Amino acid sequence: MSANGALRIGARLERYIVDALSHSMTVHVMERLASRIIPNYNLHERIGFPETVPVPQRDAAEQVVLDMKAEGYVPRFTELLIEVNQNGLMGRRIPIRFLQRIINEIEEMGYLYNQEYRIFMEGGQGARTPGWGILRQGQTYDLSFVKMDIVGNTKLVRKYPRSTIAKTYNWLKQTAGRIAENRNGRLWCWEGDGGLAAFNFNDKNIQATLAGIELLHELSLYNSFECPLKAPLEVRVAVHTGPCQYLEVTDDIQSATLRQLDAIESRYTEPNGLAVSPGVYFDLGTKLEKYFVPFRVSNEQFVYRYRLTWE
Amino acid sequence: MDLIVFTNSSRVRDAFRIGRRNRHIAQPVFLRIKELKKALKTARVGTLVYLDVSRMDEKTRRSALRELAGEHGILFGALDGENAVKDPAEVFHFGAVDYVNGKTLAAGITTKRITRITGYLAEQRDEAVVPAADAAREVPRIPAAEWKDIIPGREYTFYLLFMEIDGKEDMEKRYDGSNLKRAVASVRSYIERFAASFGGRVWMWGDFNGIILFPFNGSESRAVRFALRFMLFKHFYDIQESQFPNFLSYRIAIHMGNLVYSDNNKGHIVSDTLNSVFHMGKQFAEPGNFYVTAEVLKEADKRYRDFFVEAGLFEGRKMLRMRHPLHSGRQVEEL
Repeated sequence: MSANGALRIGARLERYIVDALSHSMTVHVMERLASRIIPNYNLHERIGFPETVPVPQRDAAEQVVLDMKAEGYVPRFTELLIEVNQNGLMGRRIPIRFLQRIINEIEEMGYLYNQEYRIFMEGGQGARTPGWGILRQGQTYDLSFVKMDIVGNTKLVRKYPRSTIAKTYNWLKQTAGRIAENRNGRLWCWEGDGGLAAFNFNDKNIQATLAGIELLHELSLYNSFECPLKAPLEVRVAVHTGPCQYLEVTDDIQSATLRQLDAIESRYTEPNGLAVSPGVYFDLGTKLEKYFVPFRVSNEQFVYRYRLTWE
Repeated sequence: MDLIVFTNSSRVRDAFRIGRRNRHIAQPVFLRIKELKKALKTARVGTLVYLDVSRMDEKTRRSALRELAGEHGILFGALDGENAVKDPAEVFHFGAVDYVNGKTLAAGITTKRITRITGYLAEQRDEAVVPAADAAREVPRIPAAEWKDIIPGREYTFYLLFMEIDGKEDMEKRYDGSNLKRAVASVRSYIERFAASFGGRVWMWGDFNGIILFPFNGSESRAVRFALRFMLFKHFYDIQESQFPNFLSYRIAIHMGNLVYSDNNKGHIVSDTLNSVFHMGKQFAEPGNFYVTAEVLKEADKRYRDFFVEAGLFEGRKMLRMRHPLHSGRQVEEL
């Protein structure tokens, strides 16, 4: 990864994209595509040719790739090429040559093209990064967050040997991380007795909420079968969504959204329960929203609560 | 011989001391007195039923004894720990084969006493004693750790899991045939994937129900683990993948026994265990519920017991039902 969180582009990938552009489309189409990502993109200006002089196809392709690389937009531009290859542009079919080579090259770098979201995501054997290899340092994004916190941490730490606590808390961290990653989320931080997972993409609220519910289910089974404590381990889980500035060192992130999430978790969430904010709740769909019951937190404000119990 | 004891008293339960290795007499199944009528309907012919009459008034006692006498093929005795029956002979006049007073009860009801009864029945009444149900018989276990150890054509011990998607008739009315077929195929594929992650294989499957086999490996019950997790997590499928607009409901029953494994199953398998689990699923299991036989639960980790409640008898076997997970106080099907 480069300093701004973007994918590091090799010379071979660059060459494949240049070949694809120059063999598949006119200079005008290249400019149109580039301006979908970099607004008001002007090839003549960038190359330094007068408007009246035509830009050779190969030069145009090289310039577009150079600019996309400089801005960290190569994966996004490739996603656009995939879309154009499938759906055409302005009603015209534009088959992109060498497209599979480009996709293979990006996938060899530890990314997978996700058909559902139509984006490249970290996957396969490659390492996962907190920003999915997409988020850029310092920029603000709409994300969903799950906060998990062990209830009565201080008492537990005093009551049980360090090894017992480490074993129990480690189970929670591992389980929360696995559940989040299976749902395309990322565990952003973990501080002993709790942590924070972030979710991106279209269905981020649903995935974050399901991750919270799944964690409570696993916790219920853990308490019955594995927990070394004398009483069940209790966790509070809260889900909230909103804008948040992304920093690669996620511990440094300060955000009003995260402060609101803290408040929902600490004030309105029951032990071994989940609470979601209205912004999350109203995005859950007809099936999932039925799991929740409204809980009034002030005159006009609600959070929505879920709890797993047994008959 | 199957043995069922209807009592509300733990003292009476403790009085039964039947040897676990006895091949002819099953371990007693204890049920509450209020379950008498329902349980008698599914008791096997030849079952010996003991009824605790010590807290009953005369009218109730006579009515209960009449009920027992009316059940064809059921043998019965009365337990009277309080010596409440003034004329014990009356119990025999109803057709009972045994009467146990307070002193005898305190001494314990042993294998010897039951054997004496069966001897008397064979000699004096010419009644053959029916062997105990599979659940109590000492069936030799033939474990196999994994599927790769199983050779088609040989006999092994399996957990047999019956699973049915509830509401077939309603779905057939509501949905177009080909759409329904596609949606159900997707559910089946989900079940297959879920079962495979616990070492289970869908062995036979009709449209809405089928049998999943789990090899018995002698150490852990992956079948029970699978079904417990399936019932807890199934709604994730409803929310994320299902083509149905509603939450689906399933009934599950697990039994265990030996069968000759065939990987080319065309529905011609002859197996008592297979028949039994089909009966459990079709005749006993209620929609939305998961049952195990006592024998299956006995093989599972003790900690599973907290997840089950007694559910009565079926074909002489004690059945247990999994407690429902409640989501914000409701079952998934009620959401």
